[in-house]
Amino acid sequence: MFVYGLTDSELIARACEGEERAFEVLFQRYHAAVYRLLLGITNNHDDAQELTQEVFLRAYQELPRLQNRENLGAWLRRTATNLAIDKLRRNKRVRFDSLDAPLTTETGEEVEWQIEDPAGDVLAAVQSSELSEAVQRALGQLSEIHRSVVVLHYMEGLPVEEVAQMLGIPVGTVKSRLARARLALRILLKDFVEVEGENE
Amino acid sequence: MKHPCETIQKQLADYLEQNLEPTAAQAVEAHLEACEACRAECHRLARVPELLQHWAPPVPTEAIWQGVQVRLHQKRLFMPRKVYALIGSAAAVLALVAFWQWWSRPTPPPALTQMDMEPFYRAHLDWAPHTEAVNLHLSLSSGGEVNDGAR
Ligand SMILES: [Zn+2]
Repeated sequence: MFVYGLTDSELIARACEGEERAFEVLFQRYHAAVYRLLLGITNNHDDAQELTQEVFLRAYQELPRLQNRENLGAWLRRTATNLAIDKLRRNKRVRFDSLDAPLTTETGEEVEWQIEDPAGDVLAAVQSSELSEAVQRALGQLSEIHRSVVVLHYMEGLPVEEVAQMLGIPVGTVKSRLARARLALRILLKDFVEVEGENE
Repeated sequence: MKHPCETIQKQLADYLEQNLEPTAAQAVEAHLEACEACRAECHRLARVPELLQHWAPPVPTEAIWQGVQVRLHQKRLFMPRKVYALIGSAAAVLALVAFWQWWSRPTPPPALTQMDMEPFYRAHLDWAPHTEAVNLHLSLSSGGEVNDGAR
């Protein structure tokens, strides 16, 4: 059966006919991006796995009613984001509209904001890591409210206006949080931020 | 007095997010034009979003897909809709057959009543005295059943 070359809308049509293989191909196309988004926001592998399943479960049920079949990716992202935010709200009582708390690590220590090189102490664990692992660790250091804007804007490429709408906060707040998160990430990823050909 | 670079560098992230008032943004830009160190720092901060794109966490594809399958089957959502259609038409055919059988069932002959038997009874009474026929006791039970009353 030839399914890999089909467009999303062709696969959706077949999945609606009950062709499990067509739905599996759609899953293969999008699950990694969905999982990454969910892991980015929740910072928890189990939650990300469970919520990814939930997203595709809902997708299967919604397929026949999907308005724009070429826009499945956007639908999945929106659903995943909403589920992730709900999860955070339920689990940890995160309020996205709360005043900007200082950036803290998971252990509650405040992330230093000085631009000066922190001389490696805080970042010793990051230094030898590959970039991908370093990014994961760095994301884990951010609070949920900062991680959410980082994942949605920097990683998913959503405009700040849309992020603001999704989280129910003003655009200015999104920008402030992005700025603070960027500063923190610049420190946490200090081994990777040097632009090539440039020396300090 | 603070070094101007310190002040500027604290504003760089907001500058990059276009989160500064126009006058503040102009001041930052003017400083960046003149200061190589701050320009370098601005480049580092500007790289952050790009670095994030390199995040490629391992994805437990198999486990996730199996979970999806199990949950869809549990909810009986994954039974192909063709199968549903098949089951549906089979049920419809069965129902039709059952209805047809009920509708075309043989009608039992109407029970005999005393009125029905009357002519035969009279004929017998007329005819029997002239023959040596046994005396046939015809009696009609309440249900209209004909009993052979011969003893
Ligand atoms: Zn400077």
